[in-house]
Amino acid sequence: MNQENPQDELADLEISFTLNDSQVRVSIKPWETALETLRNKFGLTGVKEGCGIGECGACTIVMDGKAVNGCLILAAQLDGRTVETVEGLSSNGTMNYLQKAFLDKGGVQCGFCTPGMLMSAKALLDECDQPSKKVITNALSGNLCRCAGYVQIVDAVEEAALIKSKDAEDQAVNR
Amino acid sequence: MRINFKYLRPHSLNECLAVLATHGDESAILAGGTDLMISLRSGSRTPKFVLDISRLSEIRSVEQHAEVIKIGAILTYSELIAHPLIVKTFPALSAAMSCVGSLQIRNVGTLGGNIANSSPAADSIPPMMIHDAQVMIQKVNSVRIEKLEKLIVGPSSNTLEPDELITGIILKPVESAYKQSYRRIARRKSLSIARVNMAVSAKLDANGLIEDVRISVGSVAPTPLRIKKIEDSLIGLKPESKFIQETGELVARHIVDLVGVRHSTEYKRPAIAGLAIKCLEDVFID
Repeated sequence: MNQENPQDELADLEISFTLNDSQVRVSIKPWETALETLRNKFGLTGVKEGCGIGECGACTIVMDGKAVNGCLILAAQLDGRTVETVEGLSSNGTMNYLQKAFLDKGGVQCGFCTPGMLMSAKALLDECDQPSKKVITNALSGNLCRCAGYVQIVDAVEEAALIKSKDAEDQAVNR
Repeated sequence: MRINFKYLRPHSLNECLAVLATHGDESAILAGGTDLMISLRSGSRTPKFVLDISRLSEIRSVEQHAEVIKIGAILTYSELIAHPLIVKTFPALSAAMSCVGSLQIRNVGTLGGNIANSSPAADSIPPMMIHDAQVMIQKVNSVRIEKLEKLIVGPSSNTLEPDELITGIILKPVESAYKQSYRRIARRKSLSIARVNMAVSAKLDANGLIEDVRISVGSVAPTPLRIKKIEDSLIGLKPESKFIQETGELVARHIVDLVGVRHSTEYKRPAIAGLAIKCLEDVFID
């Protein structure tokens, strides 16, 4: 960084980070939000803009293991971080356990809040194997669902936690 | 985002302070960014430089000293709520930090940011005030320690100079005989701004009389405040249930006297009394 005269810094910034398990490099404007960069430069339109001011959670992404609002983060802040979006959940066209649970339990209605809900749920289940209903509700309380399908969404996360722990058991047995 | 600015990420505290020394008046500090990003979006702030301090390792640790605990300014709410020493030593502050915004906001928002933003409704400020919080403020080659109560002077207004940075918060732990409470009233639990919030800490003497009590109220005046006049009047009294009811009313009356009757007084006066009664019950009734 040029301390003497920071105005000499170029307007475009080059950042690199891990995005859904791939190392990426991109040129951004300093005032771009993470939400804008992920949608416009990477085509990851699962990152939704609802309110744009951190109140609805539709833009939730996971950064270094923590759920954050993509609209309240500058793209420049992604530099060097590990970033996960809803597009990173499935692999080879197969849904992951969270996505399956959301479908099974009817946790999707209009779908606008769903990517954010999934990412909040993912951050929770990556950290906690058997969350209580209270813990789930707390982890999802920064995500609004205008269809008001909260009961099904919480059920889906409970179901996902069960599938995940069962998968872990199966893997341990097969090993 | 419509406003153009330069993004700077200093690698050290000294580098950051050097930038502030020359460009402080046209810079905005980005710690968690949960307030700044909204101001940049709305255009209410138009800095030339955004200074990202979120990775400055010098100001992101909790240090235990003989008499005080020093909290690095850029530790996030989530990091502090998960910190055993903070949770054990400052239960009211921990409860307050758990009320901030949403998990997404707590994962990036910082304690230093809450002070710098100086909102009258800030969740963390009343519970810091009951610990006589001091704020460590640095600029190139100098440090000043300011009482939190003195630093915040009005809504979104404080005595920070453009070349200064909040680097830490100094809190005095209380002995284990103290009980603490934090409560708030808001439209909903998450993503809401407190209509009234309050932190209370108190200790009884061997005869069950009040030896020390500290009450701090937020969202009712231009700044969160300690109500020392009421606190002092309670010393030596016996905290029975009738006393608690009366003290709740007293707190509400005191606040209304202080700020005058406003459009919200009809609602806030009984709300303040009710909240004070609950906080006092938390600390005085087992």
